[in-house]
Amino acid sequence: MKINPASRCTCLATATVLLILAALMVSFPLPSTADSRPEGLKVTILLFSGRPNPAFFLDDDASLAGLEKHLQAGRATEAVKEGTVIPSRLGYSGIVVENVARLRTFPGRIAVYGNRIEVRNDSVKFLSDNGELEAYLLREALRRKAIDEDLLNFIKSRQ
Amino acid sequence: MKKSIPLAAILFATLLTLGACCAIPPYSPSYWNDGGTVQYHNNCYNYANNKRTDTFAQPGLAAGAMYTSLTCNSVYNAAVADGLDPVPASGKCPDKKDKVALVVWPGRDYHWYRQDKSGRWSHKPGATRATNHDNSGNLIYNPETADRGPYTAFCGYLCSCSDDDQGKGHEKIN
Repeated sequence: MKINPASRCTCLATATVLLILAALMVSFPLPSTADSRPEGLKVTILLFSGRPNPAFFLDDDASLAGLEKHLQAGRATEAVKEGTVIPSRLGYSGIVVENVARLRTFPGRIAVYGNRIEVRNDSVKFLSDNGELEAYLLREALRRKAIDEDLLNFIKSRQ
Repeated sequence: MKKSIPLAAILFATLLTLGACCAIPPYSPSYWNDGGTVQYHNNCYNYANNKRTDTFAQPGLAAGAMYTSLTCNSVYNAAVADGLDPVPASGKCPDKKDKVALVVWPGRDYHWYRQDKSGRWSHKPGATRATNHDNSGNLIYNPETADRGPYTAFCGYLCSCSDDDQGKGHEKIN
């Protein structure tokens, strides 16, 4: 069977293009749904005014269990006068945990400052502890290198 | 009547080209303190310029000349690149522009204040609520003497083309 040289050329060109495309896909994989969808809780340390604040994700079972344990240890308390536990001040002003992955076991948003905890879903409730939840989140921030020792010391000096 | 339509269009285009009028904003924090997108995604630079971008705007970014270090000089010059005009401490901003002040937490961060229609100053510390009080709970009459926490370096003043309406400032920031 004879193959037309022009057809062979077309086939070769097509194969070359396909090979190049395959190589490009290996080199630059398209973002997957899993990559673009966060799988945990976003923790933001409210520290800076101009620059973006340090942030990290709590997304492993042990960390999430730790957060849940500290949250459950909080005791219900009366609402704060300002409507939020986060003070409006320069320097350290607390930590916000956002349930970006909408995990069922956690509320939509948690805010922590000192021994006060604010838990928001459709409604808001306030808890108090002895600062354990805040300390836990700061330890996680340091462990995950979201903050350094100097910043941790600064935060501790302002608590 | 037919002639008035193109005339209006020309006038509108001219106004757009020249830019909108600047105005000194009142202190009206409720717009910024919504406990949601506006509050969490607009920082001190957004607030000082009275411009909502929902991007935690950075000085110089829109002009392609973002600050390169967290020093007075670098952040101040980045804001100038965005179009803000330097003004001395004793100076008054021309053309109904609003006076804003820059301070720096050396090596860590920067912060901005804005002067409101009342003559007093207010600010928005990062993602927290806008306020006209300093870290000691006092009203801010002078950002140079206010309690600024770790933002110990006072850098100077600039003029920003703000607006009467909250979030509608005219400087090109992002």
